[in-house]
Amino acid sequence: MANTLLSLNEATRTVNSGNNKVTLLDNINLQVKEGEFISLMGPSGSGKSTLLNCIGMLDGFTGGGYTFLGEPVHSMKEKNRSKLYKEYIGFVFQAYHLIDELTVWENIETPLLYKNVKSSERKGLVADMLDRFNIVGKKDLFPVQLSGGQQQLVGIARALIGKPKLILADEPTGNLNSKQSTEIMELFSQLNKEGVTIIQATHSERNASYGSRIINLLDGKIVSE
Amino acid sequence: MIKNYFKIALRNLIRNKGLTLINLIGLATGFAITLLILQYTKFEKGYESTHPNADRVVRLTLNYLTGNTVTTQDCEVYPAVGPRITDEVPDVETFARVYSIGEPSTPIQVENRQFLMENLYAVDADFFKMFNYKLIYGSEKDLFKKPNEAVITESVALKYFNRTDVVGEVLKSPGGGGYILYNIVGVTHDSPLNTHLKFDMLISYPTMLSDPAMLQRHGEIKDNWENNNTYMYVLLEEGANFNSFTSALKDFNKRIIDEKKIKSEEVIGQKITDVHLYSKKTFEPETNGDADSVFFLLAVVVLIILSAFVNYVNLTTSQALDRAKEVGVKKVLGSTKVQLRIQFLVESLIMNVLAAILTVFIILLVKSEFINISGLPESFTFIGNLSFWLPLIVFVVIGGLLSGLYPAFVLSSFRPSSILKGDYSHSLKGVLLRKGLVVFQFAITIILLIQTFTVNEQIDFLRNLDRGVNVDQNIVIEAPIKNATKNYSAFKQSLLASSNVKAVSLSHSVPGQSTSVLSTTADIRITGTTPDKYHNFYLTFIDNDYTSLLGIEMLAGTNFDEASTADKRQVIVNEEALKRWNIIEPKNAIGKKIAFWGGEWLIKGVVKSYHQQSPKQPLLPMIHIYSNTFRSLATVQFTGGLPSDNLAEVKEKFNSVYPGAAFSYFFMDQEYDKQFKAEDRFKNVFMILTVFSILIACLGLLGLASFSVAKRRKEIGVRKVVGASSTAILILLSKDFIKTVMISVIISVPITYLLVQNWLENFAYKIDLHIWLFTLPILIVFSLVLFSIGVKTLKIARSNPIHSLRTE
Repeated sequence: MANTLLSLNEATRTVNSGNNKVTLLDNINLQVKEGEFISLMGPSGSGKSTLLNCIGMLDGFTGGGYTFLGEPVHSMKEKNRSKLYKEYIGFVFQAYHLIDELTVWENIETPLLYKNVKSSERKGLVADMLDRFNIVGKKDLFPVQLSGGQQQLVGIARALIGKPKLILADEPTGNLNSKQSTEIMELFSQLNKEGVTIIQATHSERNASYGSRIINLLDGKIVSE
Repeated sequence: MIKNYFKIALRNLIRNKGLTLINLIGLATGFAITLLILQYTKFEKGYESTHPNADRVVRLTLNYLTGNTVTTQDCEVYPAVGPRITDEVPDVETFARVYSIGEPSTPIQVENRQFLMENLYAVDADFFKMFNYKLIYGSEKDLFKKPNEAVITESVALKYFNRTDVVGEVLKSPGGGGYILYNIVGVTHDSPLNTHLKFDMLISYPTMLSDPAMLQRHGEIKDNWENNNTYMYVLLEEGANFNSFTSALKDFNKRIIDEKKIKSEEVIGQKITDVHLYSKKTFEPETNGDADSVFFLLAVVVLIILSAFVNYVNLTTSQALDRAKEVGVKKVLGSTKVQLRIQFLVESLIMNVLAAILTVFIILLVKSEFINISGLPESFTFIGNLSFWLPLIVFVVIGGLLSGLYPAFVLSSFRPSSILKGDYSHSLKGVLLRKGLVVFQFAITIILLIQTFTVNEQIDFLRNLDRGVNVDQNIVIEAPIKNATKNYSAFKQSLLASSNVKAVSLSHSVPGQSTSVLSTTADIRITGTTPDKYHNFYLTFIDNDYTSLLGIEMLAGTNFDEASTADKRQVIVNEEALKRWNIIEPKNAIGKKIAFWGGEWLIKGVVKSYHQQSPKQPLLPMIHIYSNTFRSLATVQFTGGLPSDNLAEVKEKFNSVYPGAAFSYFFMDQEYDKQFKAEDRFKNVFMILTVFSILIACLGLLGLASFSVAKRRKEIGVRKVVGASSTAILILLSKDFIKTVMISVIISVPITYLLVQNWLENFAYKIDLHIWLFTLPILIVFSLVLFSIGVKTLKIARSNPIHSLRTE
C-alpha cells in the first residue's frame, strides 16, 4: 500500500471580486497517494488551474486543511511552505515559461542554484537530464530557438532536475500539436512508472486517459471520480 | 549563483538595447554634469586652501558711511591702520601691508629687453607668514627687511631669464624719477589658481618709503592716514576668536575717530577665506565669485542627479511586464524574494558601473569646453583628482543600491500564480509616486529654462543699452613708462599724420576698465558750501579729445581751455556728480569751483552721465581732470577698417617714437565686454544645466510612456478593434502626461518668478519680465514632452490590434 502524498480536507478557496465573494474551490476532499497519475478535467473556469496552484502552494486555500507528506501546509509559514515545494514539487506549464535570457542548459540548472547544489554536482545532474531527454545537442540554444515540443521537454527536464515527488502540469500539451502531445504524454507515463506522482490539468480525453485516475471538476467542486 | 546574477543581468541589458541605452545615457549625463559642477563648486569654495594659516588671516577693509548707512565698501585701507591694530587690538600677531603697484602694469627692463609686469605688489616681510609662498631659490632669513628687494615667480623668471635660478639678478623699472632697481632675492612658485591675491612679483615694503623714484611715483609716507590705497592683512594669534577680534575692532574705530584720524569711515575685518565668494567691495584685486550662484548650482545638481536615479527607477519598473514572467518562473522554481532582490540590485549596480565608465568618457570629451565655459583655470584636472573619483564611486554604490531597491522590491513582490496567468494589476502600484517624480523633474526643467531665458535677455539688454559712450573700434595703447611726458606730442602727431587715424586721446583710464584705475575721493565740495553728507566721487585724467573721441555728450560749458594760464586746474564733471551737489541745471555748474586734494578746480563743462562701468552697476559720479600727458593710456580711433587691421601701423609709430619700449595694447570694446564675463559664465553654466536637465526629464518621460503603453496594450487593442483612430489613441495616451506637466508648470512658475526677480535685483538696469519669458519656455517643454511621448505612443497607436490581443 503506497503512502499518502497529500490530502485535502474540505479545502476551499474564495476570493473577493468587487463586492462579491467568489468561491473558486468548494470543499474539496482529495487524497493523493505516491505513484498516482491523476488527470483533472473540467470546462474552463471549473477550478483546475486554481486547484493545481493551491496544491503547488503558489496560492493558498482560504479554508479547510491541506496536508503534504504529513505536514499541515495550511498552518505553515510562507518560508517553510516555499521550502517544502522547492524540495518536493516540480511545475510544468502550458506556455513552458522558460527564462528567455538563459540557455537550455542554464534553464535546467536554475532550480539547483536555488537549492544551493554544488557546481560540480549541478553539471553532472544537468548533463544526465540532457542525455535522458536526448537534447544534449541543444544545450547552448536559447528558448526562442526551439520548437514548442522541445521547449516543453526542457520545461519537464527543469521540473525533474530537483528530483521532485510530485509534478504538477497545467495543460502541458495545450500549445503543442498532436504528435508532440503524444510524445510528452508518453514521457509522463514513463516518469510515472519510474515512481513520480503526477497531477495534470487537461481538456483532452485522450491525454486524461494516460492517467490512473480522472477527477472531474465543475464550478470548483469535484463532481465525479 | 553570483555568476548567474551577472549572466542574466548582462543578457538582459543586451536584449533591451534601446532601454539600456536610454538608461545609460540618462545616468551618465546625470553623473557627468553633477561631477563637473561639483568640481566647479569645490574649486570656488576651496579658495585659500593652499595657505595653512588662512583661517587666521583677516583682511582689513574700509566702509564709507553716510550717517549709519554704508555707502561704499572699499578693499583698501590707510597703511597706518596695520601697525596701530597690531599694537592695540588683542590677539593680533602681526600685519602685512600689500600695495598694488602699476595699474594695469609696470614696465620692467632686463638688460636691453622691456617687459610689462602685471601683478606687482609691495609687501611687508610678514606677508610670508600669512601666505604660503616658500622660496625655491634664495634665503628666507631677513627677507624683505631691506628696500629694493624682489621675489619673482618661476614663470616670470623663465620669461625674463629662461631659467629659474635668478637670485642676484637685477630688474630695472623705468619711469618718473628715474629707474627703480630691484634685486631679486628669491624665486617662488606661481600663485595658486585658488587664491584671491595672485602676483607675478613682490617687492619689499621698505622700498615704498626709501627709494627716491618710488617716493616720487607713489608718495608713500610714514604713518599714512591720507591715502587708502593699501590692502591690509593681519594674522591673528593661534586660537584667537574672529568674533572677539571684530568687536575689539569696533573700539579701535572709536579711538581713531576720536583722534580724528578718520571720519565717516570704519575699518572692517574680513576672513580671507570669505573673500572669493562673499566679498563684493570696490578695488578687489580680482573679480570674485558669488556664493549664491555656487549654492544655487549645488542645489540644482542635487536635483539633477536625483532625477537621473528617478529615471532609472521609472525605466526599470516600467520593464516590469517583461520581467514579470522571469520573476514568476524563478519563484516557482524556488527562488526566494531575497535572491530576486539581489539580482535586481546586481543589475542596477552593473548599470551604474557602466554609466560611470561612460561618464568618464563624456567628461574627457567636454572637459576643455566646460573649463572654457565655466571659467575654471585652464590647467584644471578632473581625472587625476581624487575628489573626482570619490563622488563617482559614491554615486555608483549608493545610487546603484538606492535606485535598484525600488524595482527590486516591486518586482520581487509579484505573485507568481497571477503573473503566470497574465494578471499584472500589481504593477499599477507606485504609478502615483512615479508621476510625482516626473512632476518634480519637469518643475526643475521649467525653472531652469525660464531662468536661462531671463538671464540671456538681461545680458543682451545690458549689452545693447545706450551707454552714453562709444567704445567700439578703438585701440588703447599703454604708456611706455609711467607718467611719460617726453615725446608724447611727437607720438600723437605721428599717429594723426596717418590717413587711417581719425583721433587720438590721452587719458588715465578708459571706460570698461575696473574702478581700481580710477581715483576715489569722498570729500569734494563746491567751494563756499558745506556738504550735508559725504559722497564718493571717481576721478580720472583726460585730454581735450577724450569726450569727442568717445562720443560723450557735452550738456553745458566747453572743453578744457588749454591756453588759459589763470586756471591751470580744470575739470569736466558729469550729471551724476552734479546730483551729489544738488545742482539740477548743468549750466548752473559752469564756472563754479570745487575743492579737493588741497586745491580748487574750475568746472569747465558738464557731460551727460555715461556708463564708465557696465550698466549692471549704477552710474558713477565722475570728475575728469585736465591733463595732457601720456600718463597711462592713449586711445586711437580710426577712419575706417577694423582696429586690428590698423594695429601694425600703430605699433610701428610707437616703436619709432619709443624705441625699445614694450608695446602693450587692448581693444576697448573687448575690455568693456569683459565686465560681462561673470554673467556670461553664469548664463553658460545655466544653459548646460538646462540642456542636461531637459534631456534627463525627457528620458524619464519616455520611460513612463513606455510603461503606460505596455500596461494599456490590451486596452488600446480593444479600442482599435471597436473603431478608435490612431489620433484618438494618441490623444488618449498623451492626455495623462500633459496633465502631469501642467502640474509642473503650476508649481514652477511662481517659484521661478521669485527666483528671477531676486536675480535681477543685482542689476542697476534691468529688463521687465515679459510674459513670453515664461510662455516660450513652457511651450518648448510641452513640445519636447509631446515628442518624447510620441516616440512610444505612435508605434502602438499604429500597430495592428491583433498582436496585442492574441494570447498564448
